[in-house]
Amino acid sequence: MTKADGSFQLDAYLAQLRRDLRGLSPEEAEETIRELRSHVLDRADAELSPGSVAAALAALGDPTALARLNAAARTAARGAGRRSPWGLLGAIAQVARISLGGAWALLISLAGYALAASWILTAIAKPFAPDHVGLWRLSDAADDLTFSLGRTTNLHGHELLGWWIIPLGLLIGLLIGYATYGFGRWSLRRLARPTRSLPAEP
Amino acid sequence: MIPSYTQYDAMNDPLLDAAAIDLTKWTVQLRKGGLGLAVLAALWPGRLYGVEMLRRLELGGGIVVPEGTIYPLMNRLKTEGLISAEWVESDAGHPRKYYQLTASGRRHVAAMAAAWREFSGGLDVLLAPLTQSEPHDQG
Repeated sequence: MTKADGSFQLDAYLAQLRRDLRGLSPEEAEETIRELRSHVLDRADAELSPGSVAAALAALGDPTALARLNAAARTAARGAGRRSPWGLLGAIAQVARISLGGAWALLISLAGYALAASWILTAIAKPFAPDHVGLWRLSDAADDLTFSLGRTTNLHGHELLGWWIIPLGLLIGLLIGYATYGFGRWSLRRLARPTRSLPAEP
Repeated sequence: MIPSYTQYDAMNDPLLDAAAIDLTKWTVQLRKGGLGLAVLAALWPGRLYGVEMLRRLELGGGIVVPEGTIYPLMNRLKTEGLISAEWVESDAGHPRKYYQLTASGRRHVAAMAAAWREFSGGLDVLLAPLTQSEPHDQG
């Protein structure tokens, strides 16, 4: 076993890591590789014996899992600094491509913004079609209650808010939108913390 | 004869198992919560590179951080403007990335430390009776 064997092990590990570092810019990916190479060189012995390199790599863990952890945390940390809702949503979408937590955050964010938009658009559309736009309580044949927000053509529906849909729709829509925005920022900050696997005992 | 309702195995008590799991989760959350402060505090005396940081946390604070997570963590603190980083050629023959507190980071960690001392000081007062004596029989 020679120093070349240890170097080969390290290069193979970093090559696998590089392949799995999706979602990062080339500069970020290169920086991540450089950090981890330096880390392994500090952990292994000076001769880069295969045993010491293998131990250092084992402490880092599976390269694919490590790449995903790095990519998700870096992408989330970068996105958490964005202020606009669109920028935040775009950052969550990027993290969603890498991690399951990001996918959930994207799903909830999209649902939240869709609900907010429904209230606001209903409030805006009310003056233009007062008999067809609003919050409706609909009864079907089974007498189940269904609520419908927006435009409806069901003549048996009962409108609940009338003209109050305008101020209330705007208010509720803005509140839901703001809450969804806050959730997005919270999610990115949480996803940027790569410490979910911290052990309980030292 | 022992009444049957006392004949249970405490080790298999689902309530005790649930309590143990909750304690584990609580301990993990506690350690996660303190990790940011620990990392920033470790940088207070001066700059450190990654492996030095891991050693400082383990030897100085008994905090073991999974090795692969330290760099994303440092990157987050850098993104938040609390630390800065620079590559420096070392005697070891390869460059090392050194991290150090920014001015904002120094103010931040000082404020965090003050809040922590205030909290832990109050908690210590409440916890003191636990180490001084056994609980009195309330019955």
